[in-house]
Amino acid sequence: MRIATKLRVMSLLPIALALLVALVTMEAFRRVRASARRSRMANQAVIGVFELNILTYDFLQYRSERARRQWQQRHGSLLSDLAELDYPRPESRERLAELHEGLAELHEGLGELAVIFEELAAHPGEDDLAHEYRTMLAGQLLAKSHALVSLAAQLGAQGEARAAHLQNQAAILIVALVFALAVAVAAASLHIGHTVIRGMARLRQGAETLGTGDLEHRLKVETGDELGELADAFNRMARNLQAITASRDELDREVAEHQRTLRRLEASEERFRSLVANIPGAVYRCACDEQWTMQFISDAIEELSGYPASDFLHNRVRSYSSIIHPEDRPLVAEAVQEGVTTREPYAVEYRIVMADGHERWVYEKGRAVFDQEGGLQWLDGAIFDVNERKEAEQNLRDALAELERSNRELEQFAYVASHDLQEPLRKIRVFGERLETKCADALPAKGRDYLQRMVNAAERMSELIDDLLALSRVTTRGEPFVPVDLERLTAEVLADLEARIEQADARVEVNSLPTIEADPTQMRQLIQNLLSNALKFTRQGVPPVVKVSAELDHDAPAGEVCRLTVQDNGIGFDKRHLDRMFDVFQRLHPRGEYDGTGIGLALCRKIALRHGGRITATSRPGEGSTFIVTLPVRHTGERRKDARSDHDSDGR
Amino acid sequence: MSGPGAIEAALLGAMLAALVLVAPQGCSREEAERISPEPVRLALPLQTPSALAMLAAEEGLFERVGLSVEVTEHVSGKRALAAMLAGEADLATVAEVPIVFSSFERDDFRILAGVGSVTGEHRVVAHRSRGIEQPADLRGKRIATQRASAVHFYLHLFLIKHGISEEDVELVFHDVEELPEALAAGRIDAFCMREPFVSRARELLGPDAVVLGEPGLYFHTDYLVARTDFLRERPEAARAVLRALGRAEEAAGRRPGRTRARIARRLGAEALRAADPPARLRLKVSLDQSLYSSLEAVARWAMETRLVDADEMPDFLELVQADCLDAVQPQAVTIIR
Repeated sequence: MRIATKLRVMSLLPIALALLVALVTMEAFRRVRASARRSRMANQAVIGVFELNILTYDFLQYRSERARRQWQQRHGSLLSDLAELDYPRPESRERLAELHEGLAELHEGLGELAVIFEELAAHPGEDDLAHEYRTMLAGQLLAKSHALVSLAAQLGAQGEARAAHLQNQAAILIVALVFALAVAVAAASLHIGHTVIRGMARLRQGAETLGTGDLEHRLKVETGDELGELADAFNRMARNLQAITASRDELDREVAEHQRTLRRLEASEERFRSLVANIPGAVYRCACDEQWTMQFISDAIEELSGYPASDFLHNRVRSYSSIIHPEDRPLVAEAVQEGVTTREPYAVEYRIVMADGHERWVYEKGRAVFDQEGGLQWLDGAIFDVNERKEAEQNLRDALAELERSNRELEQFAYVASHDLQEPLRKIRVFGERLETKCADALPAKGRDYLQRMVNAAERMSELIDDLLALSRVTTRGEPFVPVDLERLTAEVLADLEARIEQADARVEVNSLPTIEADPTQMRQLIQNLLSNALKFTRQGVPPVVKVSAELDHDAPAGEVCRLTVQDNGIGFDKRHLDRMFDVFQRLHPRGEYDGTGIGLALCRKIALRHGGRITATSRPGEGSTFIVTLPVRHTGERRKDARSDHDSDGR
Repeated sequence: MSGPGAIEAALLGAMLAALVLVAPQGCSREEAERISPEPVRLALPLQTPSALAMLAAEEGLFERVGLSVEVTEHVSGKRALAAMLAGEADLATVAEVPIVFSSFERDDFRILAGVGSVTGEHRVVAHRSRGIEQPADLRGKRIATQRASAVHFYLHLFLIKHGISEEDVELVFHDVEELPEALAAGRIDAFCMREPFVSRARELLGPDAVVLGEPGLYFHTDYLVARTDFLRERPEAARAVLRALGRAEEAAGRRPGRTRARIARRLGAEALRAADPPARLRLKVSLDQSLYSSLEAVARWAMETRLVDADEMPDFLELVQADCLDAVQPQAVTIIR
């Protein structure tokens, strides 16, 4: 049984026993009261009988009418009192019946004597017999009266004894019950106290044992009450304590690891802070709203904008949107929106209005961050100062424009100069030839030599001017790109060079060549110049062999290209001269050894560049040369546009 | 109404309301009776069995029960009864002998309760020079007393006890005040009386005074009696008188020494000495069965000696009215009913 239940029972036990005692006491008192009442009434009867006895004496002594009347009155009241008497015990009832009978006889005797006294009073004088009878009657009356007194006294004594007996019984019963109550309460208290104290002692002993470090110790209290629960709790505590102690080292290790992790995190955070602080730009995290509400932005924004970073956090002082140049805000919004839509990083350059009112170009690159459900969370990114680059770009664009303008003026000048020089030069040649034809004889030999030199110089100058015009026309008079069959074009060039090929006893091998988009005139010039050089720079005694071939590269970064190769077995050149051999008027050999203006390869390079290609060469002296021209197979719209622009400008 | 005046007015009103509410319950009946005391006239004989009435008057106990008692003192109970029957008083305390004699003649008064009794107080004082040294010497002597009184009855018993009939002496009757002087003057040889007349005679006779007594021979009991008209009209007043006498009895029981000192002061030290030992004086309000025996004994004596001209005994059951004492002290009523 649980201690609480025991305590409840123990607290209810006295109440129950007290109720029992109260009930028993009430019943005992009821009986005692009834007995006492009977005893009291019996005593009243005794008194009444005594009083009747007194009155009887009084009547017999003085024949008092007052005494007789009192006797009658008292007799009646006594009978009334006796009528209320009810004895449970037979002997008492028997005594009561005797008392009734005696009173009736007394009443009868007193009445008879009263009659005698009345007659005697009416007729004084009586004979001896009458006197003897009266005396006998009076004696009987007194004797009966005395007997009734004894009887009543017995009745009263019985009643008192009965009442006393009941009182004793009640007292003994109450004392016994109270004693039983005390014993029961004491026994219950002792039992509970013993149980609790014994359990507490075990618990104390267990706690002390546990305190010495014996974590294996367990309590064995199987009482099934609170002490048992307490022991179970104690054992659980011991097990937990044991488990805790066992895992203490592990916990220490975890704590140490945690501390190391914490230090790493702190170092990482420090690095992050240093990174954020030292990164050449402002790092941010902002909401994707109209104000670009900053949740975080590094202090570098102050260097960029002149406003402290705290101003932008949660738009405390100003929003980041407010410092974006009003003309650029749609641009920024569009770029970010595209990044959000495509979930790709976005990048945008725009201007901000600084605190001092100046504008500054910045480059922003960021990325939208989404949660697992795909909801947009924020934007992470960085803002860099690109003002100097922008200025540099602008300067470069300005310089390039100036250069282009200068080139155009120079080309225009060269073209105009070359074109305008043609006419006086032609007149020099014409008049020189006429002078040579018509006046040669009139001239001395020295004069004729001079004349011949002048005509030759004019001839070279004419060639030089032609080449310069051709060079300038590459850009000024270029044609639009159209599909050009390089193989057919090469065949046409070979046809034009047929005389020189035969003269040099050369052999030209042409492989399959592709069709590319190009300016056909310039392509003809390019191939013709390369073949002419192969036929020109030949080794003495070695028949020239020239091979023309091409290959397509589909994986080139700028798209599909064609590599056109012209290989010869001529004199070759030192690779040291490769850089300058494509410049204008650069000649690797004296004019006396090989004729030429020094413009041919420069023209080739200009043509290749106009087509978005390039030209290079490999060679060794005496081992021939290989010229490689790389040209796009197709051109983009921009390149075509440039080509058309060149053509249009040429038209001007 | 505001300020201190308002508070005072409120307090006054509350006090008046409290008085109105409390007065009916808080004022006891006795207090109410004190407010309008009921006048009662009491004829009081200066004799020790009536000491409770004297004490009640002195202690103001009558006033405490709402009475305003006018006490008229008399030298004997017979005079007190006569005064009451004459309408000079509503109540009186008196011994049974005058009661019995009056009851032969009239039926307009009732016995309410006994108020005290004493024995040994009555004495026969004789003149030594007349040859009287002992009771037997009284034979043939001229003995005076108060007719139809307790001392008269006592003298009757005293003479019987000593074998002397009333025919053997010359019995004469005087006013009680005259008895000591009559003895001293030699007009009588002896007289039967109580204090303070016995002491007066001692003073007058000096060594010639012979005082004879028989303590225990007769218990002189004084009863409170009242006229029937008074009882009929003012029964509550009669009960109040009994209540006051009951309180006097309680006071006397609590402080007997003080009671005796007061009795001595009023009636003389000798009177009290006569009631020595103290058990001889019994101050108690009661009605017991012995009353009838006493009354009938006196009545028989009166009829036999022809002190009254009657052959039939009065109806003493009617003479005793027990309901008043029954209402006040029921335990004090022990007459057989």
